[in-house]
Amino acid sequence: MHSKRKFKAFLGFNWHWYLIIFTAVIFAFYYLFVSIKTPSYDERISIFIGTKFVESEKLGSDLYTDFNGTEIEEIYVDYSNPADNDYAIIFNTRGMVNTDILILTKGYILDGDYDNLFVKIDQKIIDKYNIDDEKLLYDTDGLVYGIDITQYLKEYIKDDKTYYLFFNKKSEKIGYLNNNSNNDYALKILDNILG
Amino acid sequence: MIDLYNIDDAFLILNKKKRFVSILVISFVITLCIIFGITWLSDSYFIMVIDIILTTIYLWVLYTYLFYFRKVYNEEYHFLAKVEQYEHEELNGVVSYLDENITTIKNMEAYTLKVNGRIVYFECSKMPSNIYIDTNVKFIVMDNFVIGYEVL
Repeated sequence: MHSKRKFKAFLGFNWHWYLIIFTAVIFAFYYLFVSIKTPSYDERISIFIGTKFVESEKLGSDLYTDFNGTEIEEIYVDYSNPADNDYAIIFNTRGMVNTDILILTKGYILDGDYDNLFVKIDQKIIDKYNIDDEKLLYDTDGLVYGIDITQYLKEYIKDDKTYYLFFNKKSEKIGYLNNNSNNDYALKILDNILG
Repeated sequence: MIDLYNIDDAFLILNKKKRFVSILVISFVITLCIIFGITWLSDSYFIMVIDIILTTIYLWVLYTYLFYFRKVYNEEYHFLAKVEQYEHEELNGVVSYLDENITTIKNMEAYTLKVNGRIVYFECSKMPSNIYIDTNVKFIVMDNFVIGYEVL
């Protein structure tokens, strides 16, 4: 029959199950909340910068101001130092996978490879933002792939290199530049940078 | 003769069980509604802490019911059913041995007594104060358990 002594004995033998339940609940809810809070691919614009150091959180926060009230929940800025030994691996993984915009210095990408990695920036964009010809990065075929945004980045990157903005060919947020695009929110970043 | 166990008590146990299960089901629904409700309104980490506390408490109570109370209630019920159905025997004599150290027999906490050389068990919570060594008693015994007694 039930008694306090028996119940205490039961607790004495089973205390570890109570601990396991508590731990499992913590992990389950933490995983659930991280999943809920983490923006999906379409809700986030990812930017990769090839630089030694950038104030990534400030840059992401400043760029996000134009996206309040839209579907975009986060602008995520990642970076890696091109001088590091493992930069090539980082570029091909964190840099090119699921990112929308890449900001790189000239010379890291060979001229002939622009077409493989980035979309061509067409005249419509150049005209819209009145971009000077000297701010454009051409490949060997005379097509534009990059835009010089060094001036904009001075507040976030403290070096004297020239940085070009490229759009990832596989991004689905670059509107008409990619037929598979679901939206053009990554293109709208230019409003903030060049506007 | 004082009967220690009554089959009507079995229905009390069933009711206790039903009440416990009802409480569990209702608290499960309420907990779920609260968790979904507050999480829907805000997915902050503070809400996560509340969710964890509510869920943990509920699961602890559920575990305690499934692995302790349900077993205890079932054993009580089965014992009472046995008392109702099994043959009883009468044991008359003088208590020659009484061990007040608690022994657990068939999940019941009991004292050990010896009457006429026969060892029987008396549930601790039902042991009266007027039975001790050299007391002349008449016991009704089922399965070595005293289920009725009279002090002569």
